[in-house]
Amino acid sequence: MTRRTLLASLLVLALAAAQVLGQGCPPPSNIPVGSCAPKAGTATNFAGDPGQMRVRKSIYTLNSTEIAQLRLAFQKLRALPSTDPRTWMAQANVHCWYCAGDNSTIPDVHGNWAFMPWHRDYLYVLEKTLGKLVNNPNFAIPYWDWNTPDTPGCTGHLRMPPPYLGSTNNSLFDCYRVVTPTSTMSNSSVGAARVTQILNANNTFALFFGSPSVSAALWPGPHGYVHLFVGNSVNLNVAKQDMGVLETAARDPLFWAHHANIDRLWDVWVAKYGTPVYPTGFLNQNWTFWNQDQKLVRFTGGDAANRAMRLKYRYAPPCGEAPVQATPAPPPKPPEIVSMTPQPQTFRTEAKETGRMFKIGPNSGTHVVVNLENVTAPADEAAVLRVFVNKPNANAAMTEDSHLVQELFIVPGRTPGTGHAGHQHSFNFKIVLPAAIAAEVEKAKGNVPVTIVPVASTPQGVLSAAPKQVRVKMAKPYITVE
Amino acid sequence: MSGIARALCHTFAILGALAVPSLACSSTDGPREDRMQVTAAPATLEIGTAPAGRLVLHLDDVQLAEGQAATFRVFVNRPDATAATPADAKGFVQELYLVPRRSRPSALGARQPGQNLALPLPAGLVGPGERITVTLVPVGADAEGRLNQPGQVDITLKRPYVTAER
Repeated sequence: MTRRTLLASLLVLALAAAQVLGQGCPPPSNIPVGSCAPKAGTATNFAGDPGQMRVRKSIYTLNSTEIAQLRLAFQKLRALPSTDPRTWMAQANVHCWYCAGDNSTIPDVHGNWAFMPWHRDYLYVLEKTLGKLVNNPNFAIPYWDWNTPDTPGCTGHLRMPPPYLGSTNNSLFDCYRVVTPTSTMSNSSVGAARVTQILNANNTFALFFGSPSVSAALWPGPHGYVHLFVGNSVNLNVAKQDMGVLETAARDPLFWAHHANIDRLWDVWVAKYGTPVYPTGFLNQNWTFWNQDQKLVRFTGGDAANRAMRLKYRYAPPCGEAPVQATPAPPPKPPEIVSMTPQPQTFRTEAKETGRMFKIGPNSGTHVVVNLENVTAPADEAAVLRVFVNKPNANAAMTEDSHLVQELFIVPGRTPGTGHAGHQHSFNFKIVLPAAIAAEVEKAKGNVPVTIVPVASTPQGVLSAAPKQVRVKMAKPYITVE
Repeated sequence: MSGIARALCHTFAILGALAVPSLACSSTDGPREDRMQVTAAPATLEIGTAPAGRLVLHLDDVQLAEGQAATFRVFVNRPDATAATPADAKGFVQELYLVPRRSRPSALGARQPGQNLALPLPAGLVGPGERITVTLVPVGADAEGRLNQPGQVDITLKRPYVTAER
């Protein structure tokens, strides 16, 4: 190298350093990757978010108050003492640790089906931490919808979102971006058409979410482009801190907005194809994060898959896109009402999901329930009904059978014969099945006979084996898991 | 290894994978016989005939050099594809952007852990029984960020293959 080229090189380096330092940035040598092992601890299982549903909005739709709060939240995150496991650097190091960076000893979460759920849980924890720091339980991180087409009044999605620009006075700014405010991403790489093409092509669970050994569809696609673009600008094949390398990517506040959009595309995929049957292995993946209360908490793929119920957030439509008009649900069909006869009546049931996973078993923490609804009887008439499950030949003489799951005593509210027969009592009953019967229901996938047997009783209340004429009606029974 | 030798090695590796695997370059720093390497030039490999059904192209054990990202396009039955071949051209399968794990190599020549990618082929691109070639094209961006320039990558991967889904 000649003296001239050496001087020129030194000048370039000096100018680059001055530019970085002029923004209040530490020189790159002060931000080594180092060890990114998280603080050790004993984890407890995530119990589900007890709060209200939060709404993540497009960064382009935040108002000035919301942007100010976002900045304040990151400012407070950056200011946490290093002893706090929630610090900005600790958050970033979690990503480093789980990307098999540094000396990580755990499996990577990027090149397989952990990619989508791990990042969903990871974003959730940061969101709750930021919300805690600004004392706003409804705080939600924004998403950078780089794939939204420009519309009048809603442009610039392919460039850096303005709230993240500026200098270190802005907590959303990151020193180690090569991208400039005017740099524009390739529309053919990350625009609406590209994302649509990927969603259309990857229309099965395995193609979109991957498998234990195959990456998710979004990982090597626009997700990677945005990382490289922010970290490296046009020189996509060179690794550069922060966003351009997995070890350091989450140091950039833009990382979270970018990944919120990736996460949102999970919802877009579900809206397109319906909720898939998530494999058990996918749901049982788990990982630990230090949460907003500085507690080490274990999250699962199941928490991520049940976003609305477990994590309690949803996505608002992108800027310029009208909210999806939900198709009005057809009015519910009135339940089929059947009248009790003196003879036993047997109904075939079907399982109805109640929003939880259909998982039955003595240790599953769920109950199998027979539902008897709209049970009506004249107000001045008593009735006794025996309910059998999976015993289609049940009769009034069976009093000790294990399939007898309940005796229902309908007590008159009026004195019999006082002219109130026209008044109807109406009840709903839920009968929790014992474990052995629940197991039979599970085996039959919820399709079991439920037999209702009216029985007579003496004036003293002693039940007999004789059939009984009753004027009881009810909807056809059904089974739920709750 | 010189650049010419490396290029020859590369060429023989691909030819070897095509026909006679034992012909593959046996040099220590070149690609192994069951692997292909992509650096600057587009790399094409014939991988057999297409089965019936919905086809998914598998790129397994894709390894990047540590400290390097990779951006490349995948084409099927477009052995003539170059960095100038646009992403909407016939035969285009996907544009891939692989983010590296390490900012710096931990050791000379070190590679990142491999990753397996499954890419569904566009319907009608290849018919049953038709021979399939896979072309990987490194791409770089022009001054305005458009990906239309020859790119420089350093990736190795196992011989690609196609599966049919029902």
